[in-house]
Order: sequence, then C-alpha cells, then structure tokens
Amino acid sequence: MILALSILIPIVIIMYLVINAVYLAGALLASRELRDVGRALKRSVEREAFVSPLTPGVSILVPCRNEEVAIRDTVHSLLALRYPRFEILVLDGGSTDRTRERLIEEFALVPAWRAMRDTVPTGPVGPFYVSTRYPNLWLVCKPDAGKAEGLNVGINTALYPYVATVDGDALLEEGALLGIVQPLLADPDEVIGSGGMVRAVNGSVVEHGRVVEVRFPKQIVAAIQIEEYLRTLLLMRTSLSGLNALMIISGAFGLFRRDLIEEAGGYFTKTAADDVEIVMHLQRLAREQGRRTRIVFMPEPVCWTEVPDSLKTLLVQRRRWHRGIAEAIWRHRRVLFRPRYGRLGFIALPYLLLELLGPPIELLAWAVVILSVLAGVLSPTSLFFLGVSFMLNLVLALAALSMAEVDYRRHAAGGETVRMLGYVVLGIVGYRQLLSGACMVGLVDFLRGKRPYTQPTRRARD
Amino acid sequence: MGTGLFVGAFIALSVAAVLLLGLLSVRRLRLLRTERELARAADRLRGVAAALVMDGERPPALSTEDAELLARVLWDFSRQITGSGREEIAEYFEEVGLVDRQLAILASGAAWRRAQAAFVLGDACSARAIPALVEHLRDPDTAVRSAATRSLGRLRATEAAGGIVDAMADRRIPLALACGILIEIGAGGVPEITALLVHTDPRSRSTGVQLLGLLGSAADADRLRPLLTDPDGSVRAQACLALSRLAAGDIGETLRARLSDADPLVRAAAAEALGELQDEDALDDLLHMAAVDVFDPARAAASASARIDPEALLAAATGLDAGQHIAEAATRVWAARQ
Amino acid sequence: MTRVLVVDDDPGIVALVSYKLGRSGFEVDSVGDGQAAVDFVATQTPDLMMLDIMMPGLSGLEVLERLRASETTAKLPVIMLTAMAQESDVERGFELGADDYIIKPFSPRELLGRVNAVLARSAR
Repeated sequence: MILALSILIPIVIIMYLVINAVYLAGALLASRELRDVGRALKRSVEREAFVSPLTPGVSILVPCRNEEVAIRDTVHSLLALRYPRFEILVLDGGSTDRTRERLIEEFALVPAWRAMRDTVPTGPVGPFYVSTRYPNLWLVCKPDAGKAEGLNVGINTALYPYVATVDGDALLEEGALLGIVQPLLADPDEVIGSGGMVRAVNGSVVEHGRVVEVRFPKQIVAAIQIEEYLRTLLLMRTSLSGLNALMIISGAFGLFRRDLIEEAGGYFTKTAADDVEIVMHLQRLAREQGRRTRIVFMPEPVCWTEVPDSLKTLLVQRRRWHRGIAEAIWRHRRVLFRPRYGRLGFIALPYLLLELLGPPIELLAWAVVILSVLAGVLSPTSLFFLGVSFMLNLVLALAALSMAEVDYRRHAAGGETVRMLGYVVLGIVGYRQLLSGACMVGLVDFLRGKRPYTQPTRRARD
Repeated sequence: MGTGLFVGAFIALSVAAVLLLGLLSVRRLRLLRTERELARAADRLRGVAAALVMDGERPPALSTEDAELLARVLWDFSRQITGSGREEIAEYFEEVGLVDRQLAILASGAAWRRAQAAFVLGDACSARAIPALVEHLRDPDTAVRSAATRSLGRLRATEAAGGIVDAMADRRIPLALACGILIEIGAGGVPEITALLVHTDPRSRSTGVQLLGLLGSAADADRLRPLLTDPDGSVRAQACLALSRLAAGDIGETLRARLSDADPLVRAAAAEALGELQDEDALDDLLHMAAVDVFDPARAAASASARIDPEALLAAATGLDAGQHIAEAATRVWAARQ
Repeated sequence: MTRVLVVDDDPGIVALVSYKLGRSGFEVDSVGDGQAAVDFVATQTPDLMMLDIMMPGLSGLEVLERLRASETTAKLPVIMLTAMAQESDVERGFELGADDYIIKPFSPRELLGRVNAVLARSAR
C-alpha cells in the first residue's frame, strides 16, 4: 500500500500541477490579449457599423422553457438593442407555466403564421405568434422540446444570415449585439462565430430589462461564482480566443453564421451541452473543408444572467455541463492530436480534455494526499502540496480580479473587493472541491451513458 | 527532491500572489482617482471647451494635465457637433501641436500606436491629416487601416473616397465599415466605383454594384443595366437591388425578366426590388412565385406582394394553394393593422 | 428671460447646449436624468425643454408621456435630442406630442434656430 502510494503521489500531483500550469499560462496570455482588447476598444467603430447598410441582419433565438419569471425582462432588453436590423424569435419548448401567457399579454402577441425551412429535422412546430406592437418579435412554440431542438426550430425559421443565441433569462446590454458583431464585420470570411462576456446579475437592480445598478449577490453560492466566471471567461476564453483555439461559446450569448450551422446538421439534440458541441462541430467541419475559420470571444459586450444561488442547483448544473463536455469531446474525438486539424487537434481539444479531467485529477490528488497523511507517508510534501494548491488558486483568482478591474461595470465598490477576496479564499477551501465532485459525477454519468436531464426551475428574482 | 520542488513552487507562487494583490490595489486606487479627477476637471473644462467650440474663444493657459483633459473633452465634443465648431477644434489642436504629434506617431510608431493615432486624427478635425490617412489605407496592419478609414469618414474627406473604394475592392478594409463611411461622406460620382463594375473578380463587381446603388443617382441606372445579365449570380442579384434603390424610370420590365432567372437568389433579389419599386405589373407573377417557388424567392415574392398590394395578398391568402409564404406575409399585414 | 431645461445624461451635451443657449440670452437649467426632469417641472415650469430620448432609467419618451398627461405641462414645448436618428423613437416622440427633434451630432446654429422656431410657434 505504501509503495503504491509513493508511486502514485508524484504522478497525480505532477498532473495536477501541469493542469494548473496551463491555467497560469492562460492567465499570462489573457493579460496580453486583454490589453490589446482594451486598446482596440478605444478605437470603437460601432457608430459606423450601426449606420452602415451592409451591417448584416441578425435573428436572435431565445430558446426557453418555463421561464415565466425572467422572460419578459429578457425580451425587453432585446427590444432595446441598438442594432439596425434584427428579429427576435422566442422559442418556447413546451412551457407548462405561464411563460406563454405572460409574453402574449406583455407584448400584445396575436396568433400568426410563419414560414419555415426544413433544413434541420425538428418534428411538428406550432403555434406561432407575432407582436402587434413590435413586428420583429415572434413567439414560436414547439411541444416538449429541449434547448437544442428549440434552437433548431429557430434555425429553420430565421430570416437573416446570422443567428444569435440568447438564454431565456439573460439580459443583453444595449450595445451588446453591435459589440459581438464587430469581429464578423471586420473579417466576414474568416470569423464564423463570436461570443460575449457573461456576468452574474444576482443581487443587481434590474428595471425593465436594464441593469441599472450592479450589486454584489447576497447568497454565498452566487457570490463565489462571480470570481469563477471572471476567471473562466476572462482568463481562459480570452487567451484561447487569441490563439484561435476557442471551443466554447456560451449558449447564453453567442453569434453564428446560420448557413454553417445548417451545414453541420443543426444543434445536436442528444447532448446536455449543445453550445459546446456546435462550436466544435463548426470548427471541425471548417478544417475538414480546408477553410481557415476563427471563433472570437469578446470580453466587452455583456450579457447578464442568473447564476444558481443554491448549492444543489449549482451542483446539478455543473454535473450536467461536465457530462456535456465529455459528450462533445467524444463525438469529435477523431480531431484529437491529428495534424490535419492543426490547432484544433493540438491546442483546443486537448485543452478541453484537460478541463474534463481536471476535476477528477484534483480530487484524486487530494485523496492521495489525505491518505498519505493518514498513513504517515511524506508529510512535508503533502503540506506543501496543500500550500501550493492554495496559492495556485489564489494567484489565478487575483489575476482574474485584477484584469476585471478595468471594466467599468465592476461589481465591487471599494469594500466589496475585500469581500470578493474573502469569497475567493472560501471558494478555494471548499467550493472547488464540491464542484470537482459534481463534475466527476457528471463524467461518470457520461461513462455510464445516462440520458437527457430535466431543466431546473427558475428562482424568483429578488 | 519533491519537497524542494514544492518549496520552490510555494515561494514563487506566494510572491506572485503578493504582486498581483499589489497590482489589484494599485489599479483600483489609480482607477478611482482617475475617475474622480476626470469628473471634477471635466466639469471645469467643459465650459472652456464649449466656449472654444462655439465661439472660438481660446482657452486660458492650462497645466499639462488640464490640457490633456481638455483635449479629451474636445475629442468627445468633436463627436457631438457638426458645422463650424469643428473648425475651431481643428485650429486648437493644430495650435497645441497635437496634430503634428499624432502624424509623427502615424509615420513611425508600433502598430497599435499607429492605429490609435489614426483614430485620434479623425477626432482632431484637422483636414491636414487627410493625405497621411489615405496613405495608411495601405498600412500592413488591419487595425490601422480600419482606423484610417473611420477617421477619413469623420473628417468628411470626399477626396479620399476613391482610395476607400480601392481598399474595399482589394478587401483591405471591412466592407460594412467602409460602406457606411462612404455614405456619410456622400461620395456619389466616384470613378473608382465605375471601374469596379468591369473588374474581373465577381466579388469586386458585386461590391461596385452595391456601392453604386447606395451612393449613385437615377442617372447611374444605365451603367447598372448590363450587370443584370452578368455571368455571376450574386452580381445579378445585387444589380436588381441596386437598380431598385436608384428608382430610375423604366426598369420594371427588365427586373421582371429576372423573375425567371436560373439562380434562386437572383429571383429573390428581383422580387425584393420590384416590391421596393411597388411595380404593380409584377403582382401576378409575384403572387404565383410566392406559391410555387423555393423558400427564399417565394418568401421575397410574398413580401414584395404585400408591399405592392396588401389587399390582393390578403385575398390570395384565402386560397387553398396559397402556401406558407403568402400566409406569413398576410399575417404580418394583418398584425400591423391591429 | 426665457427659461430652458436641458435633460440629458451626457454632461458633454448638456454643456454644449447650455453654453449655446446661455450665450444667446436664455436662462438655462439642466438635469441628468428623466426622474430629475419630472421632479423639476413639478416645482417650476420652464418655457422650453430639450429632452434626450436615450436615457437609462426613465427614458425621454416616458418623460414626455408624463408631461403631456399633466395639465401644467401639457403645452410645454419639447425638442427631442436623438442620436443616430432612430426613426421609430422620433415617430413615437411626435405621437406623444414633441414639437421638434435634433439629431446628434448637431450643428449649434441649427440648434438655436430650431429653439427659436419652436418658441415662436408656441407663442402663437
């Protein structure tokens, strides 16, 4: 037993350190990338894009189910978007609550007919509604449909060559659409998709679809996630985007070329993370056809969304996400380490694999260390492992916070930065391990071939 | 061995943590101070800036910090107003040497600095910057080219229109950006656009057609007519749309001929164009197309019919073989009337 | 002296408009958001209001609605300030009873001209 441990310990710990070294490298890259982004922001050409007749139209797809609490604010925020030409398609996947009724009442919807293509197989769709007050707002219903199916309905219905996906409880800032369209305008041939920053709206004051005051969330669970989102999005996605190895665009806020999604056969309905899968699929197809494509992450345009504020909901969410990543990687596993796929095979997908295996390895490392402490083996090393692990996480969190500082929408006013640091520490010593546990269960789910999940119910906004 | 590694890592990371913590605090404090200072000084300087901009009143002698702040305020102001105020701003920036400094950076700085300089020159309102900006439409860096384009637009540099069109044709600058700017400059009779119409690359011809449609006048219709029978489908489609924008007299018949084009996108464009022109003679053909053609042209035809004669469309919707596009168009008409 | 209230969340616009009108013989007050505008007219009535449409919180259109709903301010001349000519907002503004509109970026001379024209019209 002791022999096994003394062989296992270094291996596991080294793997753990390798993973975190990758994160650190990502942080360094991100800081340079964010600096470039900051400079580019000072040279905004959004006004010109707004008035140009060549700025492409966008069909905004809002898949939702049982979002009665949040959907009206979401639609209000979309209607307020500063963009020359767009339509909003709310795709209701069989809500059993008052989502439909509230939409009909709030936006004066009337029954209508809408033509649909059949490029992506979806099954029967209907009824349709259009707003008498806002002619570019439509409600498309489909009985008992998941998010991916809803999106496919949207793909078949969309009028414009670009589609934006927005979550049913997300709030977009006024300039957000114009913001994520910029990379597409700058380089319409290469850029096939872009995504924006997702931030937690918990605790902030929302009026009529607009965030009027950014505040810190009251629940611990939500508060801890703020730093996590900053770290994942600002650090990793920015750096990956700069390397053109980005594989994830949040379904909460993404923009894609419709024809390419059609070519890929639409969103994959048999996975929990259709947003990860579609990006992978698009990039892979492009490579296979010898096309140079890019998917860009923009840290500036913001989408506000509710993050889970109860531990149970959070763990369920992470379990699902992790299973989704595993499913997506498995579906496109042929890309891994094949020269034909260039960066996709050697940077993008391996990074995702790292993300996938990270949690189990971390847990394993902890287990090994604890076991060895109990068995009385290698105490000083174990202690230092704990110390190093703590420091690593702290450094990454601080890096993320420091980079987020330049954003004028920062959460913390003075004293709250200290609070946030407190949450970071709290996060390191308990939260991360719980999350890793949930992720591992998600991985196990995947390995056992478990099937679709049910969406959690939305908590009322305070 | 293992212990040593860990100790080293621990120390390195601790140092990094302390540094980052320091960076965080410093940045936070600096940002707060800058914000507060900016707010206070800006209030003070806005009156000065407004006086300069509106009445040409030169500001009193200012400290360097205040001068920089004033420049910032003036940059914002230069975006808010048109007319003679901009000349005052240009004079001021010339006097304080800002234009010279930025031109120097544009000539020889790092890429991002050149891009920033190109951008700032647009706000400085000085026409002296125009030749340098036109030159940098050929800069090796994309950001610089985009910034130069945008600034030429801000400066209303009609003499740069030709250079911008060339850059568009070579795909050196983003089409959407440049198009918006050309419209703002109001550069209609540009010979470079006509040259594009006969370019060997169909994409360039397409761009030329689009531009002529957006910037030209009815007199240019004759130049566009031959492109309705261009070998490339997208050029033909753009020609239909461009002709409808120019709204010249007698193109209805030639557009109607395009309704039976082999390429569905051309048919769709022709339908849209006829809708734009409200060509009643096309109504029957359009209603038929809306019922039988494939998705995009049928949709465009239904939509065009709605524009030409909503009552006829509503009547057609009651027919058994109306099809989904006429149904949708009828719905839209009806909903708009509620 | 004719009193003008400038309502805009952009202090730059406020400064420019206030300066121009101030120099042209008007007495100018300014507020930075819709709610403040509503509060202002509750206690004192200006002779003209320059109203920005796009404001966070209470938007210009909502302010206009409230103005027209109240007797004291139903006839108050209002000139809308809109950025980038958002047609639908301008239309809606006229529906709600605005008298004219100015697009940003604007010409200071034109601004003065419109102000005088609107005041002359409402004096009749």
